[in-house]
Amino acid sequence: MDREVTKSTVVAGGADRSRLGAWIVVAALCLCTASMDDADAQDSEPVAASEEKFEDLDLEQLSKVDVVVPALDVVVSTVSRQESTVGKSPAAVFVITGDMIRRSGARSIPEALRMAPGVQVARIDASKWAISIRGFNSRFANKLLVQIDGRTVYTPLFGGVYWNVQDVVLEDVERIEVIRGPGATVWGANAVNGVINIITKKAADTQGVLISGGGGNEERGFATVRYGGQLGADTHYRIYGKYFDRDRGFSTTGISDDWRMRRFGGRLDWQPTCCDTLTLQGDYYNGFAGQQAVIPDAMSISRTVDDDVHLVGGNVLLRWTREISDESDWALQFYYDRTERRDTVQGENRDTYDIDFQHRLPAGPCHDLIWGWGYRWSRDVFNTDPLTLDFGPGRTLDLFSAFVQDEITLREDLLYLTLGAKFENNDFTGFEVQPSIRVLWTPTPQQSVWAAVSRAVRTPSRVDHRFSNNFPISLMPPTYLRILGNPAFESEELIAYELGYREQTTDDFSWDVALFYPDYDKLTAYLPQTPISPPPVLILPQIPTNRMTGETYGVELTAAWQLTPCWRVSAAYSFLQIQLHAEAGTGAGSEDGEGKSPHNQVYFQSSWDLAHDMEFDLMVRYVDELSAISVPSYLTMDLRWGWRPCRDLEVAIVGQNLLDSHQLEFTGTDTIGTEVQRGVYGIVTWQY
Amino acid sequence: MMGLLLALASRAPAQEDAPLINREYPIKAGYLYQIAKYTNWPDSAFANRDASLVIGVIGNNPFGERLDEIARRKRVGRRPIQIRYLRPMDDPTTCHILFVGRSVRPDARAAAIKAVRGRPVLLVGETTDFIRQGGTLSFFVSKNKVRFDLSQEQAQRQGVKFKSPLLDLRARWQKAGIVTRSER
Repeated sequence: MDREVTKSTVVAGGADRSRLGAWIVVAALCLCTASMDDADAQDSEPVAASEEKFEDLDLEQLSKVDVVVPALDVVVSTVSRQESTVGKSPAAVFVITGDMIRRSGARSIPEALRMAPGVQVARIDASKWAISIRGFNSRFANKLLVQIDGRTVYTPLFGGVYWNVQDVVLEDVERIEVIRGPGATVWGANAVNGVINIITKKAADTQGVLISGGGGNEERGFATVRYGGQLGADTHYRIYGKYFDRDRGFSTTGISDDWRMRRFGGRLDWQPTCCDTLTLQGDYYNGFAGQQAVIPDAMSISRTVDDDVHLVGGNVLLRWTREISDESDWALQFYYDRTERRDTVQGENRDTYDIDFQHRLPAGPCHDLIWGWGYRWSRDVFNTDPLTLDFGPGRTLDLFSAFVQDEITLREDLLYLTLGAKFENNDFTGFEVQPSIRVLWTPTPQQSVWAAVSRAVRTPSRVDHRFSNNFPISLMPPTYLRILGNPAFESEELIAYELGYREQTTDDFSWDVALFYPDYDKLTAYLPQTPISPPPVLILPQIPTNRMTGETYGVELTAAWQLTPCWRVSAAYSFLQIQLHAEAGTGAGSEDGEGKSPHNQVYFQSSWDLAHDMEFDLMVRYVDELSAISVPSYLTMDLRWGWRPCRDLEVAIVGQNLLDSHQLEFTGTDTIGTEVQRGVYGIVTWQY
Repeated sequence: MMGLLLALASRAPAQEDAPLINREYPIKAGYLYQIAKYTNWPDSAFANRDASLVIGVIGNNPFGERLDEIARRKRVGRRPIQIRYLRPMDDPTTCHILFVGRSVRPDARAAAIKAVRGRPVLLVGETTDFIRQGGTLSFFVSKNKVRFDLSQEQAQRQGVKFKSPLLDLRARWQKAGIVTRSER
């Protein structure tokens, strides 16, 4: 694939940045007036936002669209690894569409995820986030599976996601599917509390030129260039380049945590025959994220270091899908992923190879069977300052997995039963089985009730088994807390009970409720070991053990109401209660997870089309306090005003976090966190 | 769990004849855009390289604002799309695609087909026998899906050429028995 593209499109930083925005506006307006002539004054009314955009579907997809449908009909593929609809999914699903991202003014994937119910998103500093679903949040939250176009992006180092290297061209996002609850049956071990699946558009749907750019006080400058073209009748491609520079967050000490990233890549879809599609895609990124780390120091026990973390990485993915019939297809996928990160105390290189196969076939008149297997190989090399941090020598991890799932139609259009199980073999705990049973009942086309019982495991990550990290905790006497690995650490387990109901009450109003009660066993609790005291220093070692149980329960409620063809409001409410029970003798902070995720969260959005070329959006968000880390509750608001003076051009002004000059959302662990500041930016998007 | 499920279920109001959403024309509008993408017109059909691709609709407009929305958001290659709702006296040969809907009376349909004969206009219909009467492509609904049949012979007669994605899809439908008319 041609990836030389984009160096020239990446906007150089520095003093020119603010001028760049103005320049883009002027250039785009010129282009706009030039194309006004053939735009013809079309005065049609705006199309309601809730209507599907069939013009964005290709021939293949159109040929599968049902003409007459029940109303709950948003396409999802994450629940069962095949395209289905929200109304027919026996799981708690929320879909964030590309258009919702555009109207929210979000500039990053974490910001977009704030729209989804049941998801806890908290910014630690300008480039770090704590993101989880249904609790257990932290920067190193380890019970979530995140995929971008089929590529798994959680790191086997700690089982979580480095959010500051996960990015895509937001304009090219088809949808983000957010599944709360265990999705382990078909997706694998880390899908303990949820799956986030980011899916970008096909190359054929991103044809032409897109140039977007802008800036503001927090989003200091950003630019995206994408070009999509065609090579013969059967091959479409796109290439892109992207750059951004985000300002530092608020801190009383003026921490320089500003964040700059460049990224380019592309995608090629080739359809050599009617039934085969080959997709080749890849990305490369290179950037810096500032942070202030606290590290042990021989003289004064601890010191802070101003750091600029260097983040480099890339990936190449090849997927071959064959469609055998409407009921049967298979897909074979391979990818290679490389990540490098370097700061004062830690250097990490990781190579991952992954191969995955899935096959769907009808097995008898009422059975829709899907099965598959996968193998992942990941190797790391570390270069750390052992006084602070040690992961031991580089290690190679193998993961074998296989799954099978049968969707049984008990009564056509009424009752469905889904049975499935995932089998995997990992280097830490060996063989694991994760079965699930799901029932879906659709009494009318506008209503569905579902229930599920599933078992999932959070297999150990690398740091659970081999690790050493010293945290300075007091000066007199010089005392360090030393977190170690534990080779006897086993998988965390849960059995989750879920129940959900969805209803399209009228053509304009729909709502959805999900109840959940996961019962956890063998959760991580830290066990203090015999103190080591080479005078004058005192070291308090702790190791992770499986000596904690817990249960959480909660409810997630969403509703969407199309008040008029031009005005849509939606809201989400999430309640979460976490109860942890650590065994006697475990460390004091073991149950802190109870107070690191908010009990109550509310998200409200109003999307109003003021005129056929003008949009006004309002987003309000309430997040409850995080008692374990003393983060108070907060209420904040974003606004967006968008104007489309002609078909090819869109101008928008977005205000973010408007209700406070700065707002604490989470605290740092090994680094010092900063607060989110009020921000305003302008963006111009030109599409031809 | 099952008990709870049933309890919840029994409280759900029974909606016997609940309204369904019919998306036939939004889907057909989507197809029209795809068809525009996958058809070759002779250069002579356009005034210049940047001239609009014109989709004409005769009779009642069943698409609502769908086609206008497509014209607003999409292009075919570098060409903008223009939608024309033709009145009976308008000249249909100015269009590149002419949609002859169900609402057009048989005599008016025959007249429209005759008016564009030999001109580079892709005739799209949705009535049975539309292709036999001289149309190029015809939609039909089968098993709750919108499908189409097309005739390369008629296309040739009009001077337009279908690209392979359209032909491949039809070939597959023929293999699957969805399209039965055999094309020589």
